[in-house]
Amino acid sequence: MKKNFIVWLLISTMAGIIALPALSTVQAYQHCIDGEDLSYLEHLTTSPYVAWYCECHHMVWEGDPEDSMAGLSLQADYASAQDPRFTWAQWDFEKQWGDGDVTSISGLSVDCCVNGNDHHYYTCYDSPTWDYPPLSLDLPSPFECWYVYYPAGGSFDPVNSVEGSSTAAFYHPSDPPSYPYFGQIWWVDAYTQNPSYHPDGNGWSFLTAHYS
Amino acid sequence: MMSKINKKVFSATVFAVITTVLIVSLFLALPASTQPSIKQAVPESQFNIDIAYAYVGPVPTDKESYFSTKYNQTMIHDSKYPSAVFLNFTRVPGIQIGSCDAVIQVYGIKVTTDTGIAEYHAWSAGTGYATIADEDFSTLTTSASKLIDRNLYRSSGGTFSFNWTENKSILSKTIGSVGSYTGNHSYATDLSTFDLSSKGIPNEVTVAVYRLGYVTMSKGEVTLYQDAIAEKPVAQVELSKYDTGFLYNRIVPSEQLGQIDLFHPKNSE
Repeated sequence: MKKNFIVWLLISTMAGIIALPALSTVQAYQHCIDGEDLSYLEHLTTSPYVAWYCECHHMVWEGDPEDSMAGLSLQADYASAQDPRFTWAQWDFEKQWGDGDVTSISGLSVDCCVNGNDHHYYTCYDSPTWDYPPLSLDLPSPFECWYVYYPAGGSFDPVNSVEGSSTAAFYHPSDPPSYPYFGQIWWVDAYTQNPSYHPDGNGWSFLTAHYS
Repeated sequence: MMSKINKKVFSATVFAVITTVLIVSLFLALPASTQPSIKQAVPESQFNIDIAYAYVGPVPTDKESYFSTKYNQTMIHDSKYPSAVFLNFTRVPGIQIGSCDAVIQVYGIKVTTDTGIAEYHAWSAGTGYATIADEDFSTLTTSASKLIDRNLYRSSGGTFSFNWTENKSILSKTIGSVGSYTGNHSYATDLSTFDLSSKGIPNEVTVAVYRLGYVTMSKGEVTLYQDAIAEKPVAQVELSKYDTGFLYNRIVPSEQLGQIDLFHPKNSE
C-alpha cells in the first residue's frame, strides 16, 4: 500500500511538473510612464499633471485568441514647436514560460497611428526594434503615436507571461544633441510587468492578456 | 510477487528521479544562459553627483485625479504623498572609465521615510568619447536597464550628451512619483503600498543616491559593470520640513519658494 502510494506520488509529481506550463495563462501589466515635467509645459494651466506622453491601456479580452496580444503604445502630444521631441524609441518583448525561461519574441508588429485611432501604416519586425518617429520632426505635429505589439493569433504559446519594455528618447529643439550644441538627450523606460513578480500595482496601468 | 512489485517500484522511482532531475536542470539552466555577463565595477566615476532638489509632500487637491477622454476613465494619482528629485551630474575632469567609445552610469535613488516606506527610482548619466550611431546609443540604454531591478525600481530614465565636456553640469529631469497616474482601478491593486504616507505622515524623509554600475561600449560591443550591493551612497540628504511637506533645495532662490509649485521647481526659472 505504502509502495503504491509512493509510485502514485512520484508519477503525480512528474505529471504536475510537465503540465504546469501548459496550464498557465498570459498576463502582463502595462505601466503608464510619467512625463509630468513635460506635461506641465503643455498643461501649465490645466488641473492635473497630465502625462505628456504615456504608455497605456490596451484591453484584451479573455478567450478571444484572435485579439490576444501584449503591446506598448507610445505617444506624444506636442503643444508647440518648442516642446521636446522624440529622437528615437525602441521596444523589446519577451515571453516567459515557467519561472525563468525567458525568450525574445520575434514577429513584433508596429502600428503608427494618427490622431489616436487611424492606423496609418503597418509594418512587421522580426526582432526587437528601434525607429525614428515616422512623422516629420519639423512640425509642430499635434500628435504622434506608435503601438508596438506581439500579436498572438491562434498559435499563441501557453506562456505564463508576455512582458515588454520600451524606451523613448527626447531632446529639446533649442538645445539639440548634434554639433555644435551637444545638448542632452534624455530617455525614459517603461515595462509591462508580470503580476507574479510584481503583485502590488505600483501605478501600473491596465493591460492584461489572457489566453487559455 | 513482492520481487516484481519491488522491481516496478524501483524502475518507476529511477525513471521519476531521472526525469525530474532533467526537467529541473533544464529550468535552472535556461535563465542562466540568458543572463548577460556582468563584471565588477571599478570605483572611479565619470560623474560627480549632487542632489540639487528634492520635495516630498501631499499632492495638491486639484492634481489628485483627472478624467481622461482618451481612455474614458478617471485617472488617479498613484501617490497621495509623492516625490520629486533632481540630480546634478558633473563630468569629472581627467577621468575616463576604461577605453571605450561611450559610457552610461546607472544610479538608484531611494526616498526613505521614518515610517519605513520607501520609493526607488533609477536615473542614468552618460557620454560619448567617439561618434556612436543611434542604434548603438539605443543598445547602450537597453543594456543599462539590465542593471536595474524592475521589481524594485518604479521608474527609470537617464541623461546623455554626446560630448559632455569636463566640469559641465547637467540637471536631471524629474525623478520621483509625482505625475504618475493610474487608470482602470478595478485591475490596479493596493496603490497605497507605494504611497510614502501609507503608514502615516512621516516625520523624516531622506534621499540617497547609489551607483548601481555602468555600461561601456567599444566598437559596438557592450560590457556591463556592477557595483557592490552594499556600496555607500554617493549622495545623501535629509529633507527639512517645509509647509506641509519636506524640502531640500539648492536651485530655487528661497524668496521664490512660496510662489512656485514645489513639485516643479524648474518652472520658476
